[in-house]
Amino acid sequence: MAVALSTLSLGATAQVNIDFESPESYKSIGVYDAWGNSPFRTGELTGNFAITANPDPTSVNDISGDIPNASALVLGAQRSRFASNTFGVRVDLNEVWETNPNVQYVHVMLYKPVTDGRVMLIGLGSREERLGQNPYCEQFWEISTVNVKPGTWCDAVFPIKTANGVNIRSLVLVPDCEPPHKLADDFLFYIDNIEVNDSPLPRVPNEYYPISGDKATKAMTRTDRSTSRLNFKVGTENQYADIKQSTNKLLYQDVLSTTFYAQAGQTVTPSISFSGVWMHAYCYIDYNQNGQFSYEINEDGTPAEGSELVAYNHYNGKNSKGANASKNLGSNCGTLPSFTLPDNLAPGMYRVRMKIDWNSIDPMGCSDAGNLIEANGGVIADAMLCIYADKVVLNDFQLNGEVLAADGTKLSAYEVPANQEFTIKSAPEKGFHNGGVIVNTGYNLNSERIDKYGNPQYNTYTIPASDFNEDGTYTIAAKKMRANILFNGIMTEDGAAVPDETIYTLAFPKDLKIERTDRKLNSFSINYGTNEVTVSLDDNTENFVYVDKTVTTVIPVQAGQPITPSLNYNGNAMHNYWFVDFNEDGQFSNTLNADGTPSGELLSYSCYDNKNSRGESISVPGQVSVNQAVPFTIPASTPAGLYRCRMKVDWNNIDPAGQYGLGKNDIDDNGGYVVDFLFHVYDNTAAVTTNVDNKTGNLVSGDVQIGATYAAARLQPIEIANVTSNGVAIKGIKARYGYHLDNQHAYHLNHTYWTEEALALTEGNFVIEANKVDRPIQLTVEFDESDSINDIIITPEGGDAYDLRGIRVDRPSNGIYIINGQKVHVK
Amino acid sequence: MFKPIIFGMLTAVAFSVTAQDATTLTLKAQELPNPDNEPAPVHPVPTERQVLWNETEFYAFFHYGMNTFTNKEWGYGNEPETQYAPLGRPNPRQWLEAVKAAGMTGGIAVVKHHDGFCLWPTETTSHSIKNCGNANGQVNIPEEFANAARDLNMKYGFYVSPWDRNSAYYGDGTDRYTRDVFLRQCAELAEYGTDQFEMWFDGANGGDGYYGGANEHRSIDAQTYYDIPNLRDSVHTVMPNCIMWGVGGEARWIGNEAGWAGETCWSYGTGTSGDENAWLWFPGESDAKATNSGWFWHAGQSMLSLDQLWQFYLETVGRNATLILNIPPNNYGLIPDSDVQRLKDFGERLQARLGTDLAKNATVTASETRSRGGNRAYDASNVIDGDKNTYWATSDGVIDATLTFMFPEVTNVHYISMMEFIRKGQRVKEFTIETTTDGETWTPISYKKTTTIGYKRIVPLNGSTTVYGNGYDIKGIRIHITDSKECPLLHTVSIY
Repeated sequence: MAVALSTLSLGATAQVNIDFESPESYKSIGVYDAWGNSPFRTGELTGNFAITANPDPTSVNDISGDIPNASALVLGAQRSRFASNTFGVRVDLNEVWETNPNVQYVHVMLYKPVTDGRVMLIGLGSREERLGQNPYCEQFWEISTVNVKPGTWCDAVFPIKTANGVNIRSLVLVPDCEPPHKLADDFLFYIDNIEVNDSPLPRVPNEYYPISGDKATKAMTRTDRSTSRLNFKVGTENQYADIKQSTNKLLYQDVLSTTFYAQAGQTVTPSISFSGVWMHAYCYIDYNQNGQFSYEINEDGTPAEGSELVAYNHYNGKNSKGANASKNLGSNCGTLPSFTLPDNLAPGMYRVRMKIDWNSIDPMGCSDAGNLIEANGGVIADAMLCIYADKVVLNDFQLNGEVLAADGTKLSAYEVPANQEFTIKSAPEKGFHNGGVIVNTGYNLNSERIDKYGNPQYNTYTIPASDFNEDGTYTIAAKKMRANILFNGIMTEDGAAVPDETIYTLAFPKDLKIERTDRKLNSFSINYGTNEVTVSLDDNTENFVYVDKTVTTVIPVQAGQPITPSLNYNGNAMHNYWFVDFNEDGQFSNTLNADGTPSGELLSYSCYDNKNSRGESISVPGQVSVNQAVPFTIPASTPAGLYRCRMKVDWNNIDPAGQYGLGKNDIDDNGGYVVDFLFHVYDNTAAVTTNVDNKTGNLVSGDVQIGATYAAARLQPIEIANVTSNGVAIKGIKARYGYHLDNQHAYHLNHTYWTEEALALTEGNFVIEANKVDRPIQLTVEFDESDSINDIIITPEGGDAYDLRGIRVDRPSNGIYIINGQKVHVK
Repeated sequence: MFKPIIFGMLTAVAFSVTAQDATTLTLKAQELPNPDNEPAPVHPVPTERQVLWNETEFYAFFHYGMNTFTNKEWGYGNEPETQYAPLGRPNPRQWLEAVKAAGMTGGIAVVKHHDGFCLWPTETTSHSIKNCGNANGQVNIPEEFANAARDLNMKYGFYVSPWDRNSAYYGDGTDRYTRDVFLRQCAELAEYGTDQFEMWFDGANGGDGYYGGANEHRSIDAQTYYDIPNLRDSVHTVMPNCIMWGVGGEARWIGNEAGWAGETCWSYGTGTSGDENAWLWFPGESDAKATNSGWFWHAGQSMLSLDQLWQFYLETVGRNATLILNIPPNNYGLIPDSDVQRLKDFGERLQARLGTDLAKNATVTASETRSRGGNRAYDASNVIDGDKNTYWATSDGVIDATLTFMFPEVTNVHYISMMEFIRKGQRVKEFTIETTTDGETWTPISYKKTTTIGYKRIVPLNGSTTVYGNGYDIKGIRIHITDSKECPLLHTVSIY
């Protein structure tokens, strides 16, 4: 004891280290509620707490692989529903803890059964010189920097700083302070191993690259400011990633789909496009790829050796160059000093974090109560940095063919100079054709794309087949030759359906989602004659901008028919546009007459350039009803067929690809949509063609004979006898329904135009069901001539003749030959 | 970087460790007697002083000091004391009388701005009225202000700038400024009255300044420099009902100086709308200028129009915020006559438009009423009994309910005002207002979605805070609460 006291008297600052294994590690324990009228302060209720057995001494942490808390004893307490949201368990310290303006971190191991979220630490104490002051006056209320997950030991971390001369005597751990602050049921929670040190990192990692809060949900509470872009200038090359913080209003922005490219030793000048003022910017790179950003700085403000805080424009009066920096950077608060990438930085993928914050180098964001990053309209945005070498390595991997260099060299660990264009050649095997190439570019190409830290190791894009030259070559641009590449050729079996990405194009990525929640397209309707079809978008659960309904939505209309569309759209200040590709060229033309009326395939629009498709003037585009569309008519000359339609919700824009990337009014920002579906323009009769001829005789359907061509009554079943009018037996009939029936492949213009089936024979009749008699039908009849050969006497005309052994016969004489695939009796 | 706690190791060596016995800890059933069937609070809830502060509602800001005579808004701190030379005897009583006529219930006087010049004979610095060298200038403003307020039965408080561009000690790397200057100044001001209702803590901190001749830029960490928790403890010990605004952490800046709060306005969080999910009660105060110039008086300035001031009122006091309206005294130390008249006119308008509560003539019924307890009932009639401590409430879990007011005869109505019993937290999230002309058919008023109520919400039936209009001749009006955090509690409803 005397030794210990003298140790203290040597001036060592008494830190905090409480493990509850022995009563000597703390002075006393209890409960505390900051709410003045709490029944736990008035004495109506008493707290339930005790030193108790560790509820979970054996579970292993998923991230570290260690047991986070194996100690035998912990402090447990009951969180009461009668207390406030600032109620917790209290630990009185043996010795006062002298806090000061330098941040110290209190770590508290916490185990609670319910609610994921942050917790609070309240410090009780007084000023050292105020002898008459309540010694347990509330000194700080600090929210933990990380969420505490339920059902596992977590390390809650609290950054604490106060004025000089403050003595903390008690710590209160509030186990739940997240909304809705409405506890219905009491629960037990446990704390252990309270420690003060200067590390902001949790002793038990619960996620990589943490922020102060939940990345997916933590919202900005100040929304008059936002970040729109991360800029990463490498040398003289500007690279950037756009951010949608103004619409999604989240603190954390995941831009990991964007990769910046640089080489070791290059100078980088980052900056952040931020709409506000009076803030500061910070840039971090996880050089050691360990899932965390270190951020030590030297006294002069420059980053310490090995620090992963690579640039900042203000922290305590300095910037990362060590120069004095005003805290008011005006509109330049997103501009950062340049920095140089280490010369020995190995090629690979590194996470980059860029942050707008107030005077805080903590990569998790400022959690000081008076300057919460979210309350200041800041941002934490993560992207990827690819460090590439002077040479990149190419490989390919696919079935049914190869991707080669243009000169035929195999891409087997093939090294080529980086940053120079490179030409590949698709070499499919026989029976296959080039369906495009998937390109994976990055590092660790044979591993999972996302590593355990959540970092994409490579990016993927597709080169569509249509972009290849006729000789099967394709030249990859120099900028895309900045990392190792694995080519995955899509070798498509001849005849298989592969979408053509060059038709019905979109100006935005197909997986673009709408993040704003105040606007939504629920459905749209097409009223035609006495019918109405409503197309629901309830299945668009992820709220994509683009919805392909061409498979499920085929609306039957007739040439000359008036169409009245309408929408069910939540929101306003948007317009609707309707296109139909009548000439089936894979494009939607959008030409207009001088008066605004359509002259092309844009048939209807509610507002463009202060007009609608009736040519009516619109003075206030924002007041146009988005749910009402201008009726239009299917041109009377439209042949029967399947036609691609596009309905677009957009702002004052007639581009069928959607408004995107023009600097403002991006379709997703405005809550717009592009929905493709089909019109089936049908005739009143279904045109039937067959392969019958004079020899076979016609097909017989009741009292009707069906010859080479026939106009069937629409939506009436057709029953065909299994014997022709000439008594020829029919073995089978193959029916092909649809359009472009002579195309070898049913797939055309990214849609299946015809289907085919063998007709079923029912009670002596081949049946075409009524619902299939709504479009052209091609019948290929297989005649059973085995009993009829002797009855067929024809003179062959044209076509090679083969005897029944399959040998070609130049001059067939009397006998049975195979001519044009048929058995023929030649006389 | 992590550094091991060496002291912890020493502790283990120095002390013999006694193992503890573990106690089995289980959930203990607890019950809290509730003989009056009171609703449980919805946290966060205000402190008593915050409730009293909210009840101040509408009060004045008086920016007066060195800047009145330098024509600046922010003095540098090097102004000679003699430049403070009022042309007449400053009269804080006249200020308060003028704003009282406007319907204000209190005022806050700026007694030290960023320039550091103190308007009382402080012991902490020579940069005060003690050295101004003229008799008019030596009027002790805070003392006279406090005395006048008490005499006029008005609340009062002071603005003393934490940032001091004159003081050599400010931001010098020590705590001399806070210990020997600022805290002592606060203590001196407390001597003029412990019944102050608000201390204004301007958020402007640090920058360039005179600093005793250093003429340089100085910055401080506002979170720690002023030791706010202990300052607040000291202030509350001496002045138990004094709210520390802004950096003081008990009331927030509404987020603009344009005289409006959000139509959705929670008493916690930050900014114009607050944050429904914040953990701390932090109600909003809107500071706005009643004149068309700066915060301090400048020659040629004039007061805003009655309509503009009226709009401020409806968009602050009428939206769960308080309004501190700035009326700068001139270089005579007086509120100009024209301003006095405008304030009087405003008071008359306030009385005319919101002075006669028609709800007292109505019969009020509720769709649902909480069961009474031993000593407390929650009837609908509580909202018109003139007692802010009684309230109408529904049963637990009933968050959709209607309060209906029927007049004996057709009545012309412009506004409806509602007040939650905020002692148990702010609850209402959404409501609608409907009127009837025949007693049977109800029509919602034409308005955007109405959401929060809080301490007070005034809804213009015509949806306008700028156009008074002709009002609506109605037989009845009802409040339909459609969403609430828990059972809603309204203590007062007024109809005008």
